[in-house]
Amino acid sequence: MRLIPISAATDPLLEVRDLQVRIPTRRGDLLAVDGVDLTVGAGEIVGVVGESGSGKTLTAYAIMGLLSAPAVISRGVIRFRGQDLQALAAEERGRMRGSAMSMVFQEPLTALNPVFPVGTQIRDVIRRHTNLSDRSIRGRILELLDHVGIAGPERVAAAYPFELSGGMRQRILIAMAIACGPSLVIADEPTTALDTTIQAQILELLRRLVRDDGISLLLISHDFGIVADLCQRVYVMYAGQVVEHATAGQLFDRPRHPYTSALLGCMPAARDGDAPLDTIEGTVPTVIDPKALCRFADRCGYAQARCTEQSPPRQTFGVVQDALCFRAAELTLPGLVTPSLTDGVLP
Amino acid sequence: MSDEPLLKVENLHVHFATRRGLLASRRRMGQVKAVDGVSFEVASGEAFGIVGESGSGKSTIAASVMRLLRPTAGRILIDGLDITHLSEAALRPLRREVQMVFQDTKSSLNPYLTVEQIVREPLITYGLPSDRVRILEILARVGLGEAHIDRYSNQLSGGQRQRIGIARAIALSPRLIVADEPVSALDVSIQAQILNLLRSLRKELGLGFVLISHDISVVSYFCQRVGVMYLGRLVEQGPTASVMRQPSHPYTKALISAVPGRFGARAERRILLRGEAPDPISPPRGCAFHTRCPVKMGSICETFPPPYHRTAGGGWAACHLLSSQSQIAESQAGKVMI
Repeated sequence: MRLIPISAATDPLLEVRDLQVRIPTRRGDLLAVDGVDLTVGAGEIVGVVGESGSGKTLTAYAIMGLLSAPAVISRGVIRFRGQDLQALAAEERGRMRGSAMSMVFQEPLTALNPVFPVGTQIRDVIRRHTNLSDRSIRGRILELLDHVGIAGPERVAAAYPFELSGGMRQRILIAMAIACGPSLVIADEPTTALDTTIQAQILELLRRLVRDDGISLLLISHDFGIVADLCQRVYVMYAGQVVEHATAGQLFDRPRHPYTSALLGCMPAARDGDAPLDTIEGTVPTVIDPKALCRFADRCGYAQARCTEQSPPRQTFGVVQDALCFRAAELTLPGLVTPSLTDGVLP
Repeated sequence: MSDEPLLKVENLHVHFATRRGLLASRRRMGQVKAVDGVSFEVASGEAFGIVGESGSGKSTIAASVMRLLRPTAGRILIDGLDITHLSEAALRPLRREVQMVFQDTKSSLNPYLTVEQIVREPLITYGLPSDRVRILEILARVGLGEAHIDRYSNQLSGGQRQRIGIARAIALSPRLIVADEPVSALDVSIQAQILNLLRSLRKELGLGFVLISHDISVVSYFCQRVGVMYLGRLVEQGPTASVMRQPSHPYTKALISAVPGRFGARAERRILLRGEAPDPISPPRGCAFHTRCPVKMGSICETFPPPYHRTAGGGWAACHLLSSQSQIAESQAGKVMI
């Protein structure tokens, strides 16, 4: 057994334990997030991947303290730099949000205020969290815009959101997120609304911020490709639970949960046109009155009787990987079998 | 007409006038060449994919093929019949042959109609039998049944709504489907179901497809041939496998290498393009891609539009770098060359 020195440095930057988010509905309480464990270490890029309704965005909002009624955190602990965030007063939480931890949203057009120039909106963030003079703030804004790869920062700072392209707007949101030197940035589908070549630019920018500025990144995405590209570790969510946790490599080469494996088979890039794609029949369940069973059982090609009679255990494999499945150890599930689209020919 | 391809698009141009100011209708400022000389062909049972980024003109091509827009120049032929300038009345019998599937199923299905009514509408329009049994037959073709027929579209999931959109499109037994981003709004597991459905329609009913997508992996899975759009022009066209594995145009290379994860190039080999696509109101002179091209040669690229050169994989690409390859005439650019 390895001896780990007791120091603050070994604590993860962000630690989420047994998080549950409840949304009251007429039919009962919906468990949108149910027992999620998650950590982000300093300087790490961690992904949360899942389909619509898996609970990935609500997990991010819960961490940021941005859940709005009727959604509430009904159980669990969120620790940031060792501090229990739910124990903080709202005011203190607000000071932390936008400075120590910040968020980049999916749709930059709705995340920006349409009636103010973008420079003004960045200024407001800096003003809220620092005592810089207006002149220093002005300099900081131009520096930030330059840092996120915007040519002609003076001109862009004076522009309104509608005058900028989608890629530029996303750069502005990233500039706002890093304006006050956060140690954690949560990016919720940061490139989903963007074209492929612009997406590649933004992903490169995020990679650079982590590498050069020591920011940790929690990336929420529906896209396995993006997650594979950027993340060291990945959590796969399904129906409010983390069903698998693995390194990006393990996820693609040796998935341990049937859901992960099934999703990989659905990807068009995994087949050539002669073979039909794998599908996952049925739909993601809404969990209102949780029963002791595997939530993926009715769509799983490997389900057995016990899968609908008991809750599956979390089985671990090595240091990182675990899967919420009875059969995780015995099954050899197919990973991503495809060769890359660009096999060798590209420089 | 036997040798004619199902769809032939010849040197298509679609230009829009741009206006400015409060009295907008009065002042013509200039024009946007949304589509600026595009040619391709689609055979029965074949899927032709068009990839490109926002504003490249993909959807304008779709609207032109559907004759929802009147092209500025060029020709569109269905089975050899020139439909470019046909009147609405003359188009009417042809509209049965060419149907469209849209991206946004929420706005393309009438929320006040049941599934049965939505699928019945085209049948009524053409005076065809439209009893409940017939509707159920059509629904069965797209994997739906009794359980869905009396529902409204907002009671269905995104995947089910897209199946309704497809059912409506195939109700008249068309021969060509124009699908504009048909799976872009769907989760990956649902996307796979819809792609499998479209694939079975192509194979079993022999439908031709024009599939428009920003997603290279969708096009490379579904389509036998592909064209890559940039600023209103096709810059490369050819059999999908060879375009994907051996792209010739620098833009195609960059586009493919930008696909994240294991499907594209590794991050360190990625070709990152500088900046964003120029404003189509004032496209660059010469080759429209020269402002972002990582391998631009110099004044030739800034001055002369590149001719079409044959590529090793049996297609063509419009790039001065390929000048050692033989050229093909613009009028031949749409032809299938395998």
